[in-house]
Amino acid sequence: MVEGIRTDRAGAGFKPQHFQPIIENKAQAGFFEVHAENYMGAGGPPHARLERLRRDYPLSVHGVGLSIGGAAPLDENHLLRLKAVVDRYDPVLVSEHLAWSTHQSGFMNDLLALPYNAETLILVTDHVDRAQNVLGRQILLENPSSYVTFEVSTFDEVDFIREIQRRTGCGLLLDVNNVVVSCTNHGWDIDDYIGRFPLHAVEEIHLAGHDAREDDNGRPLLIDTHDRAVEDRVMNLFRDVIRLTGPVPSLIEWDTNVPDWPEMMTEIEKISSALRAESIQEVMNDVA
Amino acid sequence: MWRESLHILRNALTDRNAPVPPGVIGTATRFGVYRNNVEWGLMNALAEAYPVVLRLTGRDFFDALAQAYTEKNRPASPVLHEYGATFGDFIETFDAAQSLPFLADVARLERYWLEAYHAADHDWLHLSLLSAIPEEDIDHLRLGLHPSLRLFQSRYSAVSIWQAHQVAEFPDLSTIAFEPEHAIMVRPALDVHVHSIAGDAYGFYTRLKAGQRLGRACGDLDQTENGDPSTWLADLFGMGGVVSLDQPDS
Repeated sequence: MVEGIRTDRAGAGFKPQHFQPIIENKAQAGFFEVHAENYMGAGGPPHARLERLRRDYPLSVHGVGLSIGGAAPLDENHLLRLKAVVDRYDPVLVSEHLAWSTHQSGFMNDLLALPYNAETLILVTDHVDRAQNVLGRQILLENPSSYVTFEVSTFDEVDFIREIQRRTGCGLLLDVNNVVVSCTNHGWDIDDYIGRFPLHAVEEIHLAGHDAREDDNGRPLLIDTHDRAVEDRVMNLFRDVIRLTGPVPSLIEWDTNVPDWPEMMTEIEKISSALRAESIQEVMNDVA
Repeated sequence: MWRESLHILRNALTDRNAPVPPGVIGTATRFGVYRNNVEWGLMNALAEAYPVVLRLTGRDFFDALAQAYTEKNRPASPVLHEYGATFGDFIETFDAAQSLPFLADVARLERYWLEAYHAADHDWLHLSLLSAIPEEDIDHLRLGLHPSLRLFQSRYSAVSIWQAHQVAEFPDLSTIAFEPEHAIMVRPALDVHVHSIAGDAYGFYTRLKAGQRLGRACGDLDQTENGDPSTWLADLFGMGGVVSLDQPDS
């Protein structure tokens, strides 16, 4: 069993089709992240693969179905399923999204946007508290990618996240692709977003590819597709961020049109190089 | 307030013709990204769960089928491999699928396969354990079956059709007779095994699965033209289907 996550090697979202090459090549990846919901079955090959993977790599469990941004209390059944996965695999990191997906017991299968105001601040705070209490550990909350905003929002996204973090003591998962996607879609300033983001609480970073389109008015519309390599713009933002945070566990999410393992490894290596460059820079700064 | 908005948002997300809800800042294309994500995600979940149905129908037909299904059937939980359990029943009622009478059965077989895939793991017993049990007690035994074990029957050769698709991407189905078939599936370790069986064996295994004692499950089937209970019992052990032998109390 592997203990912590080394920060000189990036990780990846784990895809079952990569299992053999990862194990056979002893792939130079720092860790693997799985979607919790894919391991909520009773048994079978998914669990067998994950048990094997965790012998060689630290794991991160990433929930996509808790609906932390929903109005109703968290689904306790789902929370217990998540706890079962977390207890079984003892991951180094556990994360969820600032989004909603369930309403009146119907699951929507997407990470949907919520307004940021006094009402949702209380709801989200309660939900993060509840999740951390049941899981018995800190969770990381991920900044969303979004395509619409709400008239009833009274908080800016960064202020809202900062307040959730302050009230719950949760950690943050900074998805730099989501930052680029949302800032572009809503005309927010990326430097300002990162400049005000509570980076001290960032314990993990996500990178991914996105699709560039236009909306009905010819304005840029970026879509968080996870279906390609990381754009240069996102990689550059990543380098800027780790200059501020220092190296933190970072990974590529590639969930659709998943490439063969060598291409995935190329992406991991790109992120690893940036992490190592930052480590070296830190040492140089200490020496100087 | 957010609760009421969520209700409106949810309805707008599941209705392609609904306008962008009031209070949402964003054009129809922007709101449509969410709608597409929701729809595409569910259709993709069905395509992954029903790969043979997809190959039998082709992408366009499958998408029409899946879209009609997802409109009426939303996932009850975020565990998406559980979504679509009623797809086979839905296919049976779907007008455009009536020309493929075997399609609903193939979908049901694929659902059982997926259930077996995700079922709890369990060690299984060897047949030799039976020999340690006094002969007079054997008839009273109740067999605990593997959690992955599923029994399947089709009116239209769904087992042969499914099996043909395991060895070829688009197999020739012209030699398939479209007649009643039966199968038992078990996942003793990592692979789900689908075994074709005779109707009498299906009846025998069904009685065992219902918890009948061995003697009663055999009934008056001492020997049929399709085999005999002792062979079926040996087969059941051989495929890793038996996990416990519950002895009678008295």
